[in-house]
Amino acid sequence: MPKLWHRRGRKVPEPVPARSFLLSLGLHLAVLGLMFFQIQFGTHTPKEITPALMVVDLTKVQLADKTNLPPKIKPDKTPTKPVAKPVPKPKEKPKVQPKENKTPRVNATPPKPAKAPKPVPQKPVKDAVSVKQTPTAKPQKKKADSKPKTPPKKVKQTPSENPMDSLLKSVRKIQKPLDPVPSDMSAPEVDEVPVSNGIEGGKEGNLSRLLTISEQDLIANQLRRCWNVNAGVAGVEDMIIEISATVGRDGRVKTVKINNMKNDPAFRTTAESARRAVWVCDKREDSPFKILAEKYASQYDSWKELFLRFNPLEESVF
Amino acid sequence: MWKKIGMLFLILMTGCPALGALRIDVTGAISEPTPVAMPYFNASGWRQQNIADSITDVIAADLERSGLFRIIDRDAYIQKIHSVDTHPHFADWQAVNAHALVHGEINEDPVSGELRVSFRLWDVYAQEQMEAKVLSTTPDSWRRMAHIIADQIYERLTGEKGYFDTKVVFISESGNQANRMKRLAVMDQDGANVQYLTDGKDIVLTPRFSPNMREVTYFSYKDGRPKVYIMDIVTGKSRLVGDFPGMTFAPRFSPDGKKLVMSLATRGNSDIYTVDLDSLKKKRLTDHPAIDTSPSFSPDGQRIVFNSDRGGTQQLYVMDAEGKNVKRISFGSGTYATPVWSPRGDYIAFTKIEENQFHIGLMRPDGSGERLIANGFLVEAPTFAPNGRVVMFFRQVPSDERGRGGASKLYSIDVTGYNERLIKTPEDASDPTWSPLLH
Amino acid sequence: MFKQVLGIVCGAALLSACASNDQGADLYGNANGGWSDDVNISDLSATDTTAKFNEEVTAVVYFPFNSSDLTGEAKSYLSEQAAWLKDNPRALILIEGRCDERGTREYNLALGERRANAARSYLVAKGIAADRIRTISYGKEKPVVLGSTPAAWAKNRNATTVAY
Repeated sequence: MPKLWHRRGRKVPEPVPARSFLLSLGLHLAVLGLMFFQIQFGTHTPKEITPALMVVDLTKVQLADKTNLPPKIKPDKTPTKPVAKPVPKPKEKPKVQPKENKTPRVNATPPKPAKAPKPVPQKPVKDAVSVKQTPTAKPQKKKADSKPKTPPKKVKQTPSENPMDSLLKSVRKIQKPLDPVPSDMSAPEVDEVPVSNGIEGGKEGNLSRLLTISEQDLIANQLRRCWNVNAGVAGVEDMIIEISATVGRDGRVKTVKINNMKNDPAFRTTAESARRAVWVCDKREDSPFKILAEKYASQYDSWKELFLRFNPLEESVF
Repeated sequence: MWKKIGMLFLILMTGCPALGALRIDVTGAISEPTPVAMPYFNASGWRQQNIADSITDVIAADLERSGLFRIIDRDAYIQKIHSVDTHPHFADWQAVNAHALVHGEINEDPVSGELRVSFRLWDVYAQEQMEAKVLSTTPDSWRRMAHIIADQIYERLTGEKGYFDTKVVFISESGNQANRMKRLAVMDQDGANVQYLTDGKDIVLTPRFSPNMREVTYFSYKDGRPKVYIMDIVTGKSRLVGDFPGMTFAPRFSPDGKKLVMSLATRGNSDIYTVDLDSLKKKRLTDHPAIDTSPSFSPDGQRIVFNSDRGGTQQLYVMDAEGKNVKRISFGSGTYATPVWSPRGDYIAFTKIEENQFHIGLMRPDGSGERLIANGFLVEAPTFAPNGRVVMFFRQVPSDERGRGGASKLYSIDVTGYNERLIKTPEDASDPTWSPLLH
Repeated sequence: MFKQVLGIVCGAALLSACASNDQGADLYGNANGGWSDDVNISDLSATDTTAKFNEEVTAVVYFPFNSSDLTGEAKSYLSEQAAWLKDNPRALILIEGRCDERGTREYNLALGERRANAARSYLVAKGIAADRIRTISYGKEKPVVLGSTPAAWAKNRNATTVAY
């Protein structure tokens, strides 16, 4: 670094030697080059398979000075699935080709069906983006203040709720039958296996005795808190959504599947919200599935598959 | 043999997924506005970007006004979306707790000038696309486009039909209470595009939309004769409905649009009639010395709810479309009025007056489950959004002895009783009527 | 010359006097002396008859809340009106029925109509020809007394007779 020398009271920078100048220039160019590359990867989001858009022609929508209300035009309601390529599952790393220099501007041409994924390491994307991860923790908290009016949380309290302390106290396995969630289930499940039957799956012992009632309640309560259902949806009180999920040894959810999907739009959206609830809980720090990983690590086979039944109940959404 | 059956049973049972899995029952849920991320739609050029921004704002405002969604602050967004084909980096959107992501872009066809709006709706946690459409229209219809997109998002995320691409006709009021000017007016349900349909010379009241979406029936003192009229709001032309002796009032359309049901007063007595709009022939449905008014058809056209004081006080009654089988359905304390049947068929909304307070309420068509959802010094005239989830009404405040005050405003509220919102109108407003879904 | 002018002036004065003394039937009536069918009541304007009626009898009768029953007082005022109408056979009347603001709009249109008709029926029973009487209901529109007070409300529950 050139130093400032005082010569007879005046500040005069020392002349820079040629070598250090070239070195500095080289370094600057290198940094700029890296930045350029980084920017390319950072802003250029991975070109993954994007499903095609469905075209709805509303050219007939004409509004004159007075409100010219056109005849009913029903948009084509056929699902996009047959046309679109499916979005890759979270496991498959989305790939990007660095050569695809699509400038991040709008194409004049109509949206194209998805391109096939190309092999390229995904790491640079993550690095460029990861810097921003931490500040976003705050907005999540902010949301509590900014609502003008929201329906109050209607959380249904199951009678035998006994939170954390029984969990923290002992690691002892409590052998108890897995009772159905109390009060609102009048008839016992048809496929629930009574203990005396003697038919049990897996080598890990009696599945239905894996968790204490309070542990079941704890997990159910947390899932309930992750489950957001829109108030006032018609028929919600009769819905039962059955979901299968698989969980890794680390307690992270791997797959979530809706088993009993129906054609009814209200059922579909409620089922999707239940599926979402599993993922939302999974992403939380206090994920209920981590309890399984921490407490029942040696019985992984007993809980690697989850069968969840979601029932919104009328009181909870009105 | 029993061993074989036992083995078979065992094999079958172990194949059953329920047996090999840990079962948890989740009962109940929370009900909060769904957090949705919606970056401004993309466009090329500043002019298109203005439209893109405006469209995004209208969609976001619609969704938030419904009370069921919350648009996440854009400052928090991590991923920058550049086109409708940009694939979301779901971890970024999960990081801001977006349950859904909406993004899109605007394109203008350079030749036809047509506006094309594309959008995608993603389930951020399941990492799936939920909806993707391209819509095209003329540029000056951009607001309708935004409302239609908002409806699509609403429908996909709630399972219910939307209500944003709708109009509201109402009475626009101004002036001192001694000499109030009342005009028929129409606007978008979000308060935009207000247009006046009458000139204010004659008092007009109680408009109701036709299922054909372009006509309203209303009551007017035109030519000094208080009668029912129908106006085509596209052409602005009005016509008198029938020429009956005496005052006709309180008109509604039948669900098939072929008839009006209304009150006709003769010699001081008000009874309910239907009028065929082709032949203009009337058919009497009630024949009682009591006041019978405010009739409203059920959405299947089979029954009519109406207001009558035949029992001594103003109450609600239901009869069949022929006028038979009259049954009282209101039994609470106070008096009941202005019944309207929800387009979903599940509720009847009404005005209730109890101890000098007015309320807007809901009950099931058999009269059970009465709930009051709004109140005030004077609230009146509920009308349902076409999806049956939202009710609009007006609220009026007291006036003084000089005729000042008495302001009257429109409000909307969810049938759950939450999310009451003021609807901004240029002047005071009353007697709203909600159109069907326009698409 | 002077006489002619005087004559013209007197004639004009006489004519104008006659015009202002015209009663409803002359302005708005049909051959039978009742209301003509095509009269637009928004176009009616007050005449001397209107003022005369208001001076000589009580034009407004009041009703209890939510009711169209005639009180004793109402009946006596209406009897006066009936007598006056017999003395002024060319007068036509419009009875306006009103309600206070503490009710709903459509029901109040019906109630106002009932009140106007209650007054009308009483007059007809007293011998006034039915076609000399028109009725109109204003419901809770166009209140005659302003303000959101019980006193104002009581004054708006009325049937007002306007003579032409």
